[in-house]
Amino acid sequence: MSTTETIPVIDLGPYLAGQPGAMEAAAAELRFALTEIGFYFIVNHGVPPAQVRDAFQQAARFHSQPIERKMEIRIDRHNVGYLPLRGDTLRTSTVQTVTRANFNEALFIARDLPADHPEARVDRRFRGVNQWPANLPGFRESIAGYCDTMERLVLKLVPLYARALGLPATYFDGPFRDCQYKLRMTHYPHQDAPAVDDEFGIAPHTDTSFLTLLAPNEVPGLSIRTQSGKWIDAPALPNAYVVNGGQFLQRWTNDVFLATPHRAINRSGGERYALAFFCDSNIDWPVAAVPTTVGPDKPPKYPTTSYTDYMVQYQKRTYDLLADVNRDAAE
Amino acid sequence: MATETIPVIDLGPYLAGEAGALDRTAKELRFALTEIGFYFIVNHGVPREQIRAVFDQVKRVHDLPVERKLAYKINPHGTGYLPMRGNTLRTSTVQTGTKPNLNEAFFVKREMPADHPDVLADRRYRGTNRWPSELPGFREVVVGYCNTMEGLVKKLVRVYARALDLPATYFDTPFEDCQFSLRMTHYPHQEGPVEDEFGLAPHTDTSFLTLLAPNDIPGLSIRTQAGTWIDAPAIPDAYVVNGGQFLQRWTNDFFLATPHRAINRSGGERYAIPFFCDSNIDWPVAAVPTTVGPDKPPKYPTTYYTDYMAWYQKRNYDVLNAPDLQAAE
Repeated sequence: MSTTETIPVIDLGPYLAGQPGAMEAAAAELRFALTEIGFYFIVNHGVPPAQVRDAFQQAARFHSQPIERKMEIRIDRHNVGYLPLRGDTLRTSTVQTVTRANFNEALFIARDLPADHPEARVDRRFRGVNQWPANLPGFRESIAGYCDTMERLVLKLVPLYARALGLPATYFDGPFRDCQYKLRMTHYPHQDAPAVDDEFGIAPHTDTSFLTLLAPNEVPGLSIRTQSGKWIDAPALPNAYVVNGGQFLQRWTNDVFLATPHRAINRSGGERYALAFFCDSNIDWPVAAVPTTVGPDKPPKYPTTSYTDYMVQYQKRTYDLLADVNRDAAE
Repeated sequence: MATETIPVIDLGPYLAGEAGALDRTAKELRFALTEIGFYFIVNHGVPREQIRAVFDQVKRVHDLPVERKLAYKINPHGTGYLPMRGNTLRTSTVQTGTKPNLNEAFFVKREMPADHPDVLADRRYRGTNRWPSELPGFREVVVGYCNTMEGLVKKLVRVYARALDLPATYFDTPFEDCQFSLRMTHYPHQEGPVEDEFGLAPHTDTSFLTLLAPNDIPGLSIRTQAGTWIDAPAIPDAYVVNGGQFLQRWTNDFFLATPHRAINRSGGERYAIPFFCDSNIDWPVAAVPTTVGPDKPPKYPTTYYTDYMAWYQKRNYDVLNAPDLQAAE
């Protein structure tokens, strides 16, 4: 199996337009991308450039507030809210030993559950209400709208994942109903040549997600590690989303699909913002290898995994700021 | 511990949407399918008149002269008429060397429009039904009954999902456009046992689930986990439900496929109407997430309905082995 050193570009246009054969063609490209390099770009994805631009503006607007304002909505046990600079250390990284905190700050937004939602009312972990900034009119509408657009795109993408795995196109429809997602609105301040050589905007890591949709960005900063072990910079393609999978995708596919390590450093000389939308199946869906990736001679490599259990463990290790929260009785 | 009694599950509270009823029912189902592999359902919502009407149609079709019935002889899709002694259960893991079954049956599958892509492509098991032209009204009653059965299956699979500790909707998509077969069987009366001749020899079903319509005339026996053959009682208005080889594959043998057989010693004619249901023909059948893991690998390779049934029917249906039918395989 040959691997590639180039991130493939998948044109979703024909598939989204419903052209005959387009789904199978796109699925074949997706399979190549996810077995050979673990990252791909999508173009003609149907997300209006104006909506992407607006979401970036909201990110800049949020982060330009004084730190005290941002700290009012400090990240909570549902993993929504504000994570300050150096608030997390990727100790869970299997890519390299990471001891230094990430040089970025971020606002996390989840599905916007109403306060009277049954799960929000019982304060179910990862199903809480969002922490919206109080003094930014229009912020919530704009960002909730962007999340809706991302969710719709995910629901278009999962049939391609199904076909890429030799499954019926509807295979992931059930699992992705009321899917579990998080938007990470990140601010990477400019970093000079590293003062200390293991300080990153975000240290080498793999994501936890089934898939991550990274919004088109004019300011570069992302690097990925190919199968040959080389770090390559992801080019900034106009209007193209960068997509990759994480640890849950590995579990869904018994490692047929890759979770490729990546990192970010902002050396642009200015501010860099990034909008990463992490998406997983429904919080109650058991994650196990799909039928085409297992058998009597190919047993599952991972135990069946629940989103909540996995994320609790992961975040306990990663989010320094949550240390006190995690000691709470709720655990 | 296994049980020697077929449990009765009351679907009423669950179907009425009572709080907690789904999980309570799922617990009963789990017991039934891990301990004996058969259960009755009552308060299932199927109107008594509809069941009576379909039994009338079954009698009607079998009352036709055999030459007429043979005009609708069973085809490679598994629809049409299977004559008396037309199949021998060579695939049975329960008992070997039995004689052909002493029953005749008329099989109907999902009613597909003639312009359905699968029909146009003559896709195996997705062909049109063979309706006897001399029986006006037969088709409407039988199709209506199949629709009712399908509706009931869709309610039941949610209970199966919870019984397996899965989200209630786990089987919803797999059972969209599910694959089913209605077997309208006639068991003539059998005198004292001819050696190894059964109305239907000991076997397990292939299905995910089988819904056997309430029957006033007994004839079904099942083999419990202890190895004892017990007669299924005739409970008024109660469906008998069991699982087969596909259910074993879905559950990594967590749920049973219990051997059963039928002999009609009633002195009169016996009709039986099992509805065999499986997931969508394209759905890969593999062990659900709660029944496998690194230390508990899948016992079966991922299985497709078409492959499995083609193998199964080649072994069992003597009438299908006629040269003119082989080409379609």
